[in-house]
Amino acid sequence: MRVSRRGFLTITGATTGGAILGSLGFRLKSAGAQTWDLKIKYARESTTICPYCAVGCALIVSVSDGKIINIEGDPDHPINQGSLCSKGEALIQVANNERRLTTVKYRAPYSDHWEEKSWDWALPEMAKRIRKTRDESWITKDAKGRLVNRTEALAGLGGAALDNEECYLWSKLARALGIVYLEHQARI
Amino acid sequence: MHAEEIIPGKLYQQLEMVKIKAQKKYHVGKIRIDGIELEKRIAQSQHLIDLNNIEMDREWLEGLFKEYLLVLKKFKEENAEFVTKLEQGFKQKQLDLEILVKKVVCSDSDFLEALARKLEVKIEDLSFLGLWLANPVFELYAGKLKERINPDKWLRGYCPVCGNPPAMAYLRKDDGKKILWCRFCGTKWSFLRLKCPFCSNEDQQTLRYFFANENDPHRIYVCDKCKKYVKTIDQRKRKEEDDLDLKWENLATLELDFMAQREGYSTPATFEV
Repeated sequence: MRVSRRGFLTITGATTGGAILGSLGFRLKSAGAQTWDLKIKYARESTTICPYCAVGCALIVSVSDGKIINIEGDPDHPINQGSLCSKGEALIQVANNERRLTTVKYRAPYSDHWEEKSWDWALPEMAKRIRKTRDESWITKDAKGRLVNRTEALAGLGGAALDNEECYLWSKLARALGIVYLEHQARI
Repeated sequence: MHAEEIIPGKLYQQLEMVKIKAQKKYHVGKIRIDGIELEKRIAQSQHLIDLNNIEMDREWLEGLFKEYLLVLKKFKEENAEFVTKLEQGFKQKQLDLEILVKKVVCSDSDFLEALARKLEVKIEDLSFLGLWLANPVFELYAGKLKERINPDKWLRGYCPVCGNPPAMAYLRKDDGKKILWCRFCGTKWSFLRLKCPFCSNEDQQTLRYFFANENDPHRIYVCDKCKKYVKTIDQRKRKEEDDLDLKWENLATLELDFMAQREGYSTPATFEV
């Protein structure tokens, strides 16, 4: 590559024009070394907060070609100063994980194996069974005759990977269904 | 480019040995610092060394200059002419070493070009020598002054000791903190990961870095506002256990400077000729 002197004269004196450079003894160990003649890629870093517990550790997320390539603790944030717990360290797996299921797996009652099902089958089936369980277990009044309108056969569990808006919708749905056993991972 | 595949050549090692030996002989008492002036500068977030107010040991500088020339003479033929011209220039009082050092630290390209022309040497070689003369002196100054500043709290884009822009950076092994490095005095200081040291841009949409391979410890951070770059090494990905020799890394990663220039970026660590 022909490099013009213009714009590139480091105060180290190390340009291709310098005699001393040639004497400095640059020597690449092997021809198989990764070189920068290959195509380069750009990545952007942005800051965010860990979605899990209330400590609120800060993260730096690196994205290249629309894909998360790295998540690390933000060393400049006063709360965690770059460190992360084991859950935070594993956050990249929320985005990238080859073990993530990409199809619906269903195990029928008393079955010993998983079957693959479509979403078109799974969603109405889930709604049907929730409704059935709720209707069969519905308690309008409790033993003391008080109006309760609840089901004790369903439970709901939220998690920290849900954002505020998702938590809101989920808790409203649960209450509308009459669920009283409603918990969240962050409370436990 | 993997740093482990670049081995410091004998010339570099010899120059380093000469430098370290000379530093031990420097009369540290000659580093005079006005305490009141220093406090004022710290309070105003100014870098500590005022080039107009330092006095170098000229005899020592001359000794170091001659030792360097001896080393250069031992190596390749093409250095011989450069050495001869410098010796002549020095004898004829065309070359003042203290002025050379100060002009190199200010990156005064006009002065260096004119001097190179007068001495009939390549400006690259002249500025290389100037840096090697400046380094030991300014490293000693930095050593004396560093307890006056907290490198983790400086957080500015210029060296707290001599005021120069960083030549390189690394992401610290323990916590990934970005540490900037001054090639003149060797000072290292913390800086924010997502901020341009040259224009203070913190807009994450206009800050990015490029790399060749995700496992390569080298990356170039760029700012699309001021179009400047900083070569950076991620120490956490580095295979070597030894300490980073940034002076060597800076020389050994010239390809990265070529790449950055090709991508349309520059650094105040260079000057136009």
